[in-house]
Amino acid sequence: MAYNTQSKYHIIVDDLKASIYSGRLNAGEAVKSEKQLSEEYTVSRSTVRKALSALVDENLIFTIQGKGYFVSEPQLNTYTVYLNDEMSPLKTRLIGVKIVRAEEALRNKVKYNIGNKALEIMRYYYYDDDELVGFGVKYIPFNNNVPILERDFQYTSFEDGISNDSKALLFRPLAADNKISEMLHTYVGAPILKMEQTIVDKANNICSYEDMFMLGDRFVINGE
Amino acid sequence: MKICSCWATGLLLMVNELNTRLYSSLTGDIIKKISSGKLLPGDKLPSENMLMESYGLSKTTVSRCLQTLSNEGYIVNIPRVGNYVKKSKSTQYELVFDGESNVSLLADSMRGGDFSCTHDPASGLYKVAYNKIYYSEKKVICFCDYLLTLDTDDGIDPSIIEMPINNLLKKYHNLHSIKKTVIIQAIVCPPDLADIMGIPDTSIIMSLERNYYSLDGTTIGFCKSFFRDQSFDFHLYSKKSFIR
Repeated sequence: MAYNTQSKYHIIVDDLKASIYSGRLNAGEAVKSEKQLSEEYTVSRSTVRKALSALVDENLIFTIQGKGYFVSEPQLNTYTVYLNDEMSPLKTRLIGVKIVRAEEALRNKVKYNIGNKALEIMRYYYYDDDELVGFGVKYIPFNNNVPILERDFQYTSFEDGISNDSKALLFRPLAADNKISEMLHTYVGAPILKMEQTIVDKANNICSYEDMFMLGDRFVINGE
Repeated sequence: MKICSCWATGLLLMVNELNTRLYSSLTGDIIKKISSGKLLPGDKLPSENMLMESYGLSKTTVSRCLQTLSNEGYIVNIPRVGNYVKKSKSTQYELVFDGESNVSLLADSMRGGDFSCTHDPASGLYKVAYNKIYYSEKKVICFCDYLLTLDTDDGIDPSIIEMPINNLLKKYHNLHSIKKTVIIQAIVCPPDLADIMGIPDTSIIMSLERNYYSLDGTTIGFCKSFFRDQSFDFHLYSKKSFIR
């Protein structure tokens, strides 16, 4: 059940976009209220809210609590990057899991306290057609009292499910060494995009840390 | 006493495990369907009653599962309407890249060069090309190649090289009518660039390509930047959503 392209939701989104792009609505100007829009298009408030939230996601408009929605100042320097989009979803295949001494494994890497022990999860990353893209080594604080959910290493790729957590991702280029080239069936010196992902919760407790080694010629970061 | 506590712990474990299993059959199944694309963002989940029937679970368990899914950001609950698959925020990151100003922080000098400017009298547009090389301690840390179409009546002065690309676009275009893309890749350094950077041909460098289009898809320009290995850290941050 994908969105119907003729749906009112899409019509609202397209109409609002058109007025912003054409300059009829300028940066800082107010967008019609939820109530006005729902009357004008004869749709529920929740559909209007969904349409507005889509525009907020695209940074076209922003909301001020109690005041309504306003057209954003275009941000040329801010890109939205989709690392695992619906067009080319990444799948994972588990290589192995073990319990390691956290400090040894993560010394100098994580500024957060990860505790004494950590689960080390090694996974391959694949595209849908089973094309190998990379592998990752992920560390999760290991605490005997807290159950590790199955999904922690089965379902997750980039999505770690935990909402409201902040994630920071650092990436840099790298030439494949012996180990990496062996893991990814490529030559020594092949271009690798290394990503380091740290996920922390609201209280600044570390949820996980992962090093990802992605094949440079297959894994490209796109943003808009 | 000892036996008793063991027994109690055992029982507790069993109950916990059973609970976990009941949860995960529904929660796991829905997460699986979302991850595999069988359920798409915006799709409505079956009603609680339907889920109770098809999974053979009690109403309490179903609501707790849905609560978990909602807490974890997979679905959105709209009271009296139902549960919808959320557009995944967790895979959206924000990259703030200002090009020049980011690089300038690390560079101690910049040299612009190869400036060329052609004017098309028919359209009144100027096509401007130039490049910039950023140095730190006499080493090249970044090379940028620019090509821009600018609409002006005043002519173009080579001093625009000094202007950050965003300021240039702001000056000559309506910003809301610019679409932009960025492509980031680890690549093997092309030989001519390796010469400029003074690094071996086989070096791996970061390529960051910014393209600018007008809304009808015509190209406004691009900036291709190449960063020497390890000279520059790129950060992405998870995107915060502002409303539900």
